[in-house]
Amino acid sequence: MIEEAPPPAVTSDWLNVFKSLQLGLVQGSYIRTINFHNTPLAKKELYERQLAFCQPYFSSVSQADMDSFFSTGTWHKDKPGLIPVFYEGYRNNYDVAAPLAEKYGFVGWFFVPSAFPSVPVAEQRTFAEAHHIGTVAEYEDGRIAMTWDELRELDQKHVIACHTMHHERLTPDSPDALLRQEIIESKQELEHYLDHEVSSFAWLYGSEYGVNAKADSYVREAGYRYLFSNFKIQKLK
Amino acid sequence: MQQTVDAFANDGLSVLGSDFERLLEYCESKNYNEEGIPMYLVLEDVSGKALSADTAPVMPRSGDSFFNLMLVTALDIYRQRKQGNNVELQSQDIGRMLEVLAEHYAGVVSFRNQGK
Repeated sequence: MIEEAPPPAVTSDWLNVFKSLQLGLVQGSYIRTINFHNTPLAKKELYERQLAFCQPYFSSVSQADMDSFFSTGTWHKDKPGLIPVFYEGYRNNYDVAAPLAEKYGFVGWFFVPSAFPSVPVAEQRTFAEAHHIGTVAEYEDGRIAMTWDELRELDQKHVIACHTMHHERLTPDSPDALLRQEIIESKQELEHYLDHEVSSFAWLYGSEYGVNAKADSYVREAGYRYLFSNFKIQKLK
Repeated sequence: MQQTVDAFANDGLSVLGSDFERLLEYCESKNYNEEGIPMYLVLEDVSGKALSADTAPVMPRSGDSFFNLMLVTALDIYRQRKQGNNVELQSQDIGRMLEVLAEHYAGVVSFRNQGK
């Protein structure tokens, strides 16, 4: 899951989601992911074992591969695709996870809250705690987030995607200004620093398109191509 | 481990037998903040743009069709077992179902070595 969240039980919505997932699975319209958050050095062996296990059986998935898969309807590689997904833009994703992904031939998809890399180091832990971003005790200098230079470097071989601006939970009652900031302005901020279009978005707690109509309208206005959620990757345009 | 018919020929639906509770317990014990969580994500085109007026949007398809069918069957049996315990299901249970299956068929070697 993207993050553990306790949404209220809604039987009819759950059944509809379940049925759509069954249909997608039986048609082969699915892709495998491994969802990561923090990837501290202390657990590097675990991550390496996991990716090494997957290497013989799965292929990487780049942005172009995703586009082709959706546009042609067929997977063009010999092995099924696997996406290591990294949420929150942690420094240890750059230091530990990205080199491992590269070693075993995978393209990482890094979902970053666009404000996080710009937060002063001295304020990053406070920011994280205030915005549902889990932390680990790791770096003596206190820097938790990747820098923009590190993100630009990852951008050369991996995919950088948007995970709101401040890692805010957005609900049907969220004000328009907040939705615009977290969905549209966050994309613009990432694109400013990366100097190219950012195509994918994921909500905090991983809601899919179709759950929050008001927020969905902002996702469309922003021009995202894909929405990653807890159960789906949805092509929006 | 081959993501083909062989996987089911060898394992049957063992994920729903003796392995099931142990695998569920293993998944529930994970530290989501620091571990990689295998998952299946279904691909869905909601763009509303068909190739032509007479066709539905192209849906990406891959994998062994028999494996895909067995995956869905395993998912449905899991759901029936969960509901059979009179547990009120929530959307997060769907994620857990997918995680259990993904862990079994594409999980870390270490689990498969535990207790065996």
